[in-house]
Amino acid sequence: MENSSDLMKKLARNLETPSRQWYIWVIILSAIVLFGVYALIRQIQEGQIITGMRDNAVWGIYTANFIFFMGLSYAGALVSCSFQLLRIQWAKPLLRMAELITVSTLIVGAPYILFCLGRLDRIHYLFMYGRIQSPITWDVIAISTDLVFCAAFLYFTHIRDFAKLRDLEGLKVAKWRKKLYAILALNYRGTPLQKKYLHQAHDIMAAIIIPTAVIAYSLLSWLFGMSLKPGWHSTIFGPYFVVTAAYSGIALLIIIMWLYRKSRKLEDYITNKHFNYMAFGLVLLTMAYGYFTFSEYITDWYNQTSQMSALLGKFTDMSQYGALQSFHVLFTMFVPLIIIGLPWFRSINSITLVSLFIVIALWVKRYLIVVPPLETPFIPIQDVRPEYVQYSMSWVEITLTVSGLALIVLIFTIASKIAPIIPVAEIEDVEDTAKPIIRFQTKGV
Amino acid sequence: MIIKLMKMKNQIYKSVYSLIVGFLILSLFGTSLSMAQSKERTRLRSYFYIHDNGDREISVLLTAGRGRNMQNVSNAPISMEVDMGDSTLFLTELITDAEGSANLLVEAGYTFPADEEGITTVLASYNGNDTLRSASTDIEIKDVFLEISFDIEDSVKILTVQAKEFNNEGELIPVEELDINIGVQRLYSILPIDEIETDENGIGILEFPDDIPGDSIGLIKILARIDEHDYFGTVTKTSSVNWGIPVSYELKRLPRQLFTDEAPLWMIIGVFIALVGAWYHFFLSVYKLVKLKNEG
Repeated sequence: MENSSDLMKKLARNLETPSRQWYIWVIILSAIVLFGVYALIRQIQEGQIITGMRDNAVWGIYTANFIFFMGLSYAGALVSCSFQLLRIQWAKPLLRMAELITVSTLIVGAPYILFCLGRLDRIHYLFMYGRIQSPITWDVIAISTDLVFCAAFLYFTHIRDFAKLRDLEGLKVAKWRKKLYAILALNYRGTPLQKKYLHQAHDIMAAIIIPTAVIAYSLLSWLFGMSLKPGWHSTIFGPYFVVTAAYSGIALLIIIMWLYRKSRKLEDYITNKHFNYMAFGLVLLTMAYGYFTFSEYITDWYNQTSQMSALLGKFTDMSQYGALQSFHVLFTMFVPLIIIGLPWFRSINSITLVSLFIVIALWVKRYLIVVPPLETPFIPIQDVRPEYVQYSMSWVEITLTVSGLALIVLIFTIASKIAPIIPVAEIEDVEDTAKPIIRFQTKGV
Repeated sequence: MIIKLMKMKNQIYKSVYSLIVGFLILSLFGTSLSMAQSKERTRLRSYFYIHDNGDREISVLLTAGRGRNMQNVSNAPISMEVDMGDSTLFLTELITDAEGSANLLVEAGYTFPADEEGITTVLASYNGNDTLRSASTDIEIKDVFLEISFDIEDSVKILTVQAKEFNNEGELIPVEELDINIGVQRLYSILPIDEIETDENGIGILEFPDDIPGDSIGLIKILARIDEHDYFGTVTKTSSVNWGIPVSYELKRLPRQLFTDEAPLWMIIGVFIALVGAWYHFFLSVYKLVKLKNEG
């Protein structure tokens, strides 16, 4: 492995004047995002009648996207902050990717819940007249807090790399970018005291982000758990959502690791070992997820009311949600155990492919959490047209979903053009001797 | 030989003739018998009620079928008459409703022709039709008058019910040995309290319990009821008294905290501590960065 300055020189090449392909890629992504903006404007102008949301199924894929992206965000925060606090050396090359997952999915995911509002022009009422006893208010507070904290943490982990880029000779970037690196580096020179302060800032933020992320995602789950609807009213939803978030986040991290490893030729830094360790985590989470899913369904099935029975019936009926449910169960509980758990099938590519299917299946699970229970209320709506009872996504919702994905890719594309995707300064600290800010020491030992 | 053959021939003719005639007679009789047998059996039952306001109600129920397969017969005409001994007095004709019942409501004050014991025999009959047989029933009815009175002696609540009937001279006399059920009207049913029996003065006494919940001022509705007596039928008399425990039925606050006007204190404190704790650490880490910058 090269030393850190060599690595910075190597990675800095990617930061220099972008290629034509890069611009084309950014234009394509921007066009998709802009089309999403157009769809949103149409929705604001014409109202939610151009979405699939109606009186009965008041939520659809916007809410599924919201839960999905929030989950990815919290998982990224949990992974990066845990690795930071526990001083896990091997994971250092992955930290920035995890942090970028956190911030990008948080920026993209949070607005989806706003798209469900019938009167977006009254959004400021949430802050003016928000009631502290409402789970929606908890969510607004938690998400906005988490966004600030995670963005700050992402910046903290960049400071030393900005300093390196500021000091790197021969870096062919615009002057304003050099100035920007100098400003963002905060006069960091690597003195022992500065290292100490930076470590402390890192550790404090990491320590506070972990509970914030767990609480925020639990709050999100309670939006459902506190509603008297079949399939929602569950005490297990808090931990279930957190485990699901970690599961989807690890899977997405593996996909991003694979993409950067291939596209930036980072085989020396994102190695087989990283994939193996992350795959091991994925298998553990597969089992935890399977356990929670089984617990959720077995309790519902055993005490089923007529509506709960109808809901579970929809999950087994292939003409309704049976196919989606089968896809979800297959790719979140069985395929990962077989392909990753058994050594004969395990490879970097197979791990990544399975991760891709896990991410898709977990989005499907979010859809199954949101839509079928809304279509199966305890007091069914009567004498209305079927489209008012059943949900079907419209082009506006699909467009905004695709544009959300494009925006995440765009954020990654631009972010990895501003600073290296591998945290060079972190890797420099392989022999990191900084004491963790949280220490458990038994007296007399 | 020839004579013998002739006799045999005559006997054969006679036998065949007898068989044909017998067959025809049996066929005709059998047809009328089977026609009679194909009609469904009906049953008419009658009930007598005396309501709280003194109105009397004679109710009849017409059913058809056998055993457990009895079905209520609707839209059937029921003739109501009073038995006058040698003759009958036609009262009215009723039509059974969807449940097979027909009700004759007689207002308080109307006097039925009665025998020397004051008993009126009401006849109800159904004439049948092509598919249903006829049916009839009779019921003996007699007026009874219940009076409820309340008294408190040494803090003990005493409920008195007196039952009276007309004698053959038209005078009201007490009814002895009459079983009367006492209950309290609740929202959906009657709460049974006790059963009393009238004495030679037609009076039954009950020590009323103290622990019956009433309305906001303790008012309760007490029922005295005679159940399915041979002449009096089912008689109900009610009266209200403030012997109950006053209960406030004010709508309580909904327990679900999301709907309360103000958040619970523990939640406000909890959210405050969490937010202050989280943002304190955020600014602490920012402060560390400020120190880092100043150090450089």
